Amino acid sequence: MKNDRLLVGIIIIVSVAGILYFGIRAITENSKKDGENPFDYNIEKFKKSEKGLVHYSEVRRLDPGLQRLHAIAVGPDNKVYISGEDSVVILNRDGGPHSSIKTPGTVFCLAVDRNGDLYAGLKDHVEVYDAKGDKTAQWESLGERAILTSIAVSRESVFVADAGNFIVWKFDKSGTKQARIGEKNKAKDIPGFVIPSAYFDVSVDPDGFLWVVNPGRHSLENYTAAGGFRTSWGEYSMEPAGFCGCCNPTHMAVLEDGSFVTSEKGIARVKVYNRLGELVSVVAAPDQFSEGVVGLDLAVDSSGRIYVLDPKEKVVRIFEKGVKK
Amino acid sequence: MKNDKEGKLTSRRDFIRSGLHTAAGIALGGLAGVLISRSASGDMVWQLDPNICVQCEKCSQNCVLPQSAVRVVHSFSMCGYCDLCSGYLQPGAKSRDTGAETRLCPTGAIKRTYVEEPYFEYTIDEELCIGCGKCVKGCGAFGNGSLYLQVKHDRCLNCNECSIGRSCPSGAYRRVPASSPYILRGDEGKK
Repeated sequence: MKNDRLLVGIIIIVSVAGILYFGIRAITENSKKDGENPFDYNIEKFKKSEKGLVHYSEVRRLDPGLQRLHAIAVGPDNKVYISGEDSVVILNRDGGPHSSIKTPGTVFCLAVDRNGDLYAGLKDHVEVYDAKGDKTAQWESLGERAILTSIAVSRESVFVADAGNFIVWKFDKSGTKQARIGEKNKAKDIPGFVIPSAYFDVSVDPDGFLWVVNPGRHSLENYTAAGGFRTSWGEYSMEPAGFCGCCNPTHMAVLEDGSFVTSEKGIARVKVYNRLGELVSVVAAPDQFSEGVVGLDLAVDSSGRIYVLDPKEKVVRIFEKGVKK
Repeated sequence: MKNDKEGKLTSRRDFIRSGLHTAAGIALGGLAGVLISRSASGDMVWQLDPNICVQCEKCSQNCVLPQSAVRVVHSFSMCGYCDLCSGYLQPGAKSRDTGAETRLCPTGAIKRTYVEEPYFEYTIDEELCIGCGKCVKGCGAFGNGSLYLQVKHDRCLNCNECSIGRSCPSGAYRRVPASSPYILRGDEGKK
C-alpha cells in the first residue's frame, strides 16, 4: 500500500515536471520565433561566411570617367579597356588615360588580341578596331534575338557568347562563322546553356581551351576549340564554395596558371578556384561592395592582378594577392 | 387689383429669382455630378511604381481593405523559368521542391509547375497573396525582377488619399490614368 502511494507520487511529480519542462520550452521557442519577421527576406547570414578566406587586397581604383560601365578587358602592356555608353576608354598600366574610341552604340563586351586588336561586342554584332583605334571591320549581325555578352580570343579564333540564342559563336579572325558551340545535344552529352538573365561569359584558358559559364546550372563548362564538350565543374550553394542564387557566376576570367576568377550577383563576391574547381581564395567579400551591385566584369593581367569592374562605384578595382596588415 | 398686379410682379421676380437659383443649382449639381462621376469612374487611380518600390511590406499592412489590394504580378516575358527560383525558394533551401519548408512565400501563394528540363513556370494565386513582397525581394536580389507588386484595380477602392501611399517610405505611389492603370514590366509593359 505504501509502495503504491510512493509510485503514484513519483508518477505525479514526473508528470508535473515534464509538463513544466515542455511548456516552458514551447513558450521560450515561440517567443524566439516572435522576434523573427516571417515576411523578411534575409540573406545577411550568407554574406558573412567569407571571412578568413580573403587572401587578396584592393590595391588601387581606376576611374575611367564613364557614367555607365559595361565591360572590361586587359590588353598587351596591361593596358585597361573599359566600355561605356558609346565609347571605349583605354587606360595605361599606371591608370593614366591612353586614348578612347568612339563607338556607334553601347559595347557590352570586349576582348583584346595579342596584337592590340580590339573586338567590341555590341548588341547583335562584333566590331573590330586596330591598336590605333581605327575601325577595321564590322561583322554580320547575329540576328534579332542576339544579345552578345562576352568575347574571348584565342590564337586562331574569336568566341562570342550570345545570351539571346543560348550559344557561343566561333569565328575566325576575319569574321567568318565557323561553329555554334554548346547547343543542347544528348548524343554528344552537351547539356545546353541555361541563361535566365543576360549574364553569359566565355574565356580561353592558357592551353587554348574554351571555358563557358552555364549560369543556370551554376557551372563552368569546358569545350574544345571545335565545340566538343570536355568537362565541367561547379555547384549551387549559398556558401562560399558554390555559386549562389538562380544563376551564377555572372563573370569569369582565367589566370595564367589556369585557375579561375569568378564573380556573382545577389551576394556580390569575387573568388578564385583552382584548375579542379576547388575554392582557393576569396578576392573580395560581399561587404566590400555596394548593396545591389551587378555586372562585376573581370579581367586579369600578366602579373596575376585581378581587375573588377564596379558599375555602382563607376570604377575599376584592382586586387592583388596578399592581405594588408 | 394692385395686390393682384403686385402679386403678379412679385411672382415674376420670384419666378426669375427662383429660375436663377434653379439654374445655379443645376449647374452646381452638374459640376458635382461630373466630379463625382469622374472620381467614381476613376479617371485617375492609384498605382505603385515597381521601379521605386523597396518591398517594405507596408502594402500588406496599410491598405484600408482587410486583405490589401496590392498583389504580386509576374512578367512572364522577363522570367528565367529557373529551377532554382529565388522568388519561390528560401535562400539556402536544401531541396528544390514544393515542400512548405523550402518555400519562400509565407502564404504559399506561388505555384510551381514543371515545363521541361530544367525549366519551371511560376504563377501567383491572387486569393492567397497578401502583397508582402517577400518573393519580389528574392527575385530582385538574384533574378531578373520579373515578380513585382501592383495595386489590383478589381480590388482597390481608389480612396482619395491612398492609405498605403501615405505610409510608403519610397514614394512609389502615384496617380495614373484609369485608362492605363498598371505600371507593367517586360513585354507586358510595352505598348
